[in-house]
Amino acid sequence: MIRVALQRTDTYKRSYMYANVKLYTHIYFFFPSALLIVEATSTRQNTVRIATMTTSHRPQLEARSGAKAANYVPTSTEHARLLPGHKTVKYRSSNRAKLESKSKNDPRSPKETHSVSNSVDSDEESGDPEAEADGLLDEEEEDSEDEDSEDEKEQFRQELIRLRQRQANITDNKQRTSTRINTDAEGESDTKKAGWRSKTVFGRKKSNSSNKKVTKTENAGYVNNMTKSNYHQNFLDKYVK
Amino acid sequence: MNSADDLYRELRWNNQFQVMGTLPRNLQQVIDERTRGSGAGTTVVAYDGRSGEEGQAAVQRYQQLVAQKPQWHAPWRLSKVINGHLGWVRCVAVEPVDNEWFVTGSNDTTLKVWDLASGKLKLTLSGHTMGVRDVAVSERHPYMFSASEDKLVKCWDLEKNTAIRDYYGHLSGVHTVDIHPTLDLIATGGRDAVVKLWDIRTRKAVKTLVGHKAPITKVKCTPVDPQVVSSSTDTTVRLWDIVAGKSMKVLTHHKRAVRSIALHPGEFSLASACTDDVRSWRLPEGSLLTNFQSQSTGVINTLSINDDNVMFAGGDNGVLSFYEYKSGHLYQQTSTQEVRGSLESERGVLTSTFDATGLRLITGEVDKSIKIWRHVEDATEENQPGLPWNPNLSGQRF
Repeated sequence: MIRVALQRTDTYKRSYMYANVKLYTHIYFFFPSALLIVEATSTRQNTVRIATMTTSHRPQLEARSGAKAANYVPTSTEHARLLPGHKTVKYRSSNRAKLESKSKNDPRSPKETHSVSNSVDSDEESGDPEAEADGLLDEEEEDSEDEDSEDEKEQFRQELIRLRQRQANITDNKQRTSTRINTDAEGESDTKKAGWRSKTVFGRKKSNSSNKKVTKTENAGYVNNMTKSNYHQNFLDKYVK
Repeated sequence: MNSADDLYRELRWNNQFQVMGTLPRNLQQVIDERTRGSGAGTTVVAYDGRSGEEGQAAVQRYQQLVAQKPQWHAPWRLSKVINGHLGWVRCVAVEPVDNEWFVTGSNDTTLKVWDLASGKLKLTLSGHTMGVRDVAVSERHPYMFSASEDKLVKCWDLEKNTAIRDYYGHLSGVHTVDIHPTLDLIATGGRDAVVKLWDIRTRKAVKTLVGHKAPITKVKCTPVDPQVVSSSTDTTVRLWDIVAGKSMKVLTHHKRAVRSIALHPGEFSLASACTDDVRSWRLPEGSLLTNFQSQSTGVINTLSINDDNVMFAGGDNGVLSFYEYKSGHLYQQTSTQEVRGSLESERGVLTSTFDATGLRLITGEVDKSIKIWRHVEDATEENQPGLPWNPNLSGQRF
């Protein structure tokens, strides 16, 4: 006698069906798409495991809802934030009011926040608009032109400095993110004896070569793939190999 | 023998070159020489193959096409690359109200909020247990909705920065989510091939729209009928009547899986893309508007349209195509540059969106980076004319 275990290899559910059949052909008759695996688990009986493909790849042609099934028992677990009473919806207040309040609260932010953030380059936002206006009002009319040009130069210089700072910040950020991805350990690979793994296709050789190309640039050592980072390779060398 | 040659020549001419606005240079030279030699001063040589009424009509149509010169748009260039995600960047959405930040969802199960102007990371939201496939920010609520492969749709409160609701009911991974512009509903679609409409407030599935035969790739909501539009890998686009719960219209023009659809922000029309084929549809009735010049683009993952009638199509092989929406004219085609430290094969655009102004394009890519694209600053129609306008009788505005 052969014991047949029909296994649905679903990721979540795993159900076994047992049937007693005499010949494999019967199984193929009932489950033509079945993958037949014969396991001789014990001396008394042969266990035949059939792994059918799940239906979860197929479209759902009938709309099914678990709650409607007759034997559906709702779980007693309730999420703290998903209580049945929590049924209020928030709405946004009008945008204009929000913008106005923002400009009141934060005098440094320019009044046309919307248009600035919309406009092409936010890096070029000017300094304190009120201070500028004050400065202009105080000047005599004859001097104003010279002063204006002076002011402009000053402004430009400051803007340039600000831009550079921002650039530096951005690059810092980038480096930080990249360093978070992989901490560099340079030159170690040279001293170490090359293992058999380095000769395989997915070995360290590849990551090293890609690193070599990168080291010329300022963004040195950044590898997109975490498993190819030097840190991970070192980790593998240390603990897994 | 001679007549066979002539026949071949005529066929070749009719099939290939007749409808072209400008001929290939070598062919044009030959024609120029011939016309000079024969002394016939005809400059219009393109139409001598056809005669009769049919030919006349074709000529007229062609002339109409040439006359509809597409609007010029400045070309786009890469302006910023943002690294930070640890997986493919699968979805991106810009905050629609203030245009101050945008959010990306990734295969590393997180959502990240970035400052739009500076590109700095503002917030990382975790809560999903599998890759995040789509995200939508509401214009009316302070809420954000994310769809994930873990079968859940989550509602995030943007004032508290936490997930406040789960919408549970899809039988498989959820691929797409969109918010209804006027009702408190969200529409989701996923691998189980149904579109579900959820009440935002009570978290109940209000309606399940059955009809697609394969996983759903994109769902879009419009304020008036058809209130839900969905595309699927069964090559169809369906316009749904949500009151009756049936599809009003099925668009079956595409030959391959429709990976993306996009609504035009101004005009009431829709663009849909499958491999090598982008089309737009007039919306209430779903009639064909335009065939875009997309014959050899490859697999198209994403479409987005901005207010100035620029349509962007991002390819699976990293090709960026920019179209003029009205005419279907391909005016720029470039390729993304993969981030340093990633493989060449990781060039691929997975998702894209224009910001609220339409001046920036944000793309999420296979090399785990987010890229921001802008217009070339000092481009004019003279110095950057773009790809030539070669109207084709098959690609037209109906």
